[in-house]
Amino acid sequence: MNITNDEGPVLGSGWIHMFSTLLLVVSWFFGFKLLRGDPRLAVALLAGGAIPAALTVLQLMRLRRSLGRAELEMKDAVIPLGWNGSVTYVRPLRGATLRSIEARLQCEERASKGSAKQRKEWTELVLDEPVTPQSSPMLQQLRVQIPLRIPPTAPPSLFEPDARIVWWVRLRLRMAGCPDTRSSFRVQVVPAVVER
Amino acid sequence: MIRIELAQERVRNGDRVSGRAVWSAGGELAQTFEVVCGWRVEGRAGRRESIIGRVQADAGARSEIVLPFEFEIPMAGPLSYGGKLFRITWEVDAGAGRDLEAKPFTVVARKWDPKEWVEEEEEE
Repeated sequence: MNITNDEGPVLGSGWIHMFSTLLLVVSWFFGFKLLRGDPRLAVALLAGGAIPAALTVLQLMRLRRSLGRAELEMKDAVIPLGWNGSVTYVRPLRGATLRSIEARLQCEERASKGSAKQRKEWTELVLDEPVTPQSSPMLQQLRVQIPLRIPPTAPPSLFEPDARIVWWVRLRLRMAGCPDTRSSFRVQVVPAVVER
Repeated sequence: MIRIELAQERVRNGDRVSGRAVWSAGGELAQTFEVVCGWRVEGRAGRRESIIGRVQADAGARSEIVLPFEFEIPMAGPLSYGGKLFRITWEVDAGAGRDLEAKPFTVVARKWDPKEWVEEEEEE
């Protein structure tokens, strides 16, 4: 059995983490600079900037308490083009319950140019298909079967320095008893095709 | 003048592309006649080439050279591809002096055999 780890974003769309961190950094930078000149404004900035970050951390803690780390179980480490089968999403449950789950199979092209600060990156979805997951009710574990079908004419995974093709299984979980969450798993599709 | 003849225009990854390249001097001077096989990625990120094999022959005072070639396409590919941000093109190029000729071919996915990919992973 091959296990793939979750690449998230665990909370919201991922912008929430980034926005709250950015706000914290900017407000604290100016807050500490203003501390001698205008202490009241400085304290307001320091406190205001910390609130979204603190809320994000609290949400993450609630999520981690109610849900363990997600994993994707696959029979093999790689799958071919034209493959038809299922993978299993497994996650420990601690008091929370699943209200609904959406899953998608996505194939993403990534192109990049330059390095470090000059780096530019482009992303395009070349395939985006909804799949119908089937969850079996369990008390302490979330176990969801996800049927996948890789089109035989689709491109396989590619890992070149400036050109990549990444296959994803993405899930969106609406929960009761903890914040909603998302999961993303890379799937390696090899350049071989199942011929029938 | 250069002419490239491919035995097959569609090849599977892991298989061989073969053929011959013919150079007729026609008054041109060249020291070597070289045939190269490779692929390139071109698109939004620019252009990058990768060569998987080459053969060459000394031109000397000859007026015509026939150079047979056979190149193994790596199992890992890449396959020929035309996407939204980039495309991947496979080609056999031949050159002698200022004479250059290119012949594209298509690399398609080989038939799935799970054992081959287990071996590939173990090698990696």
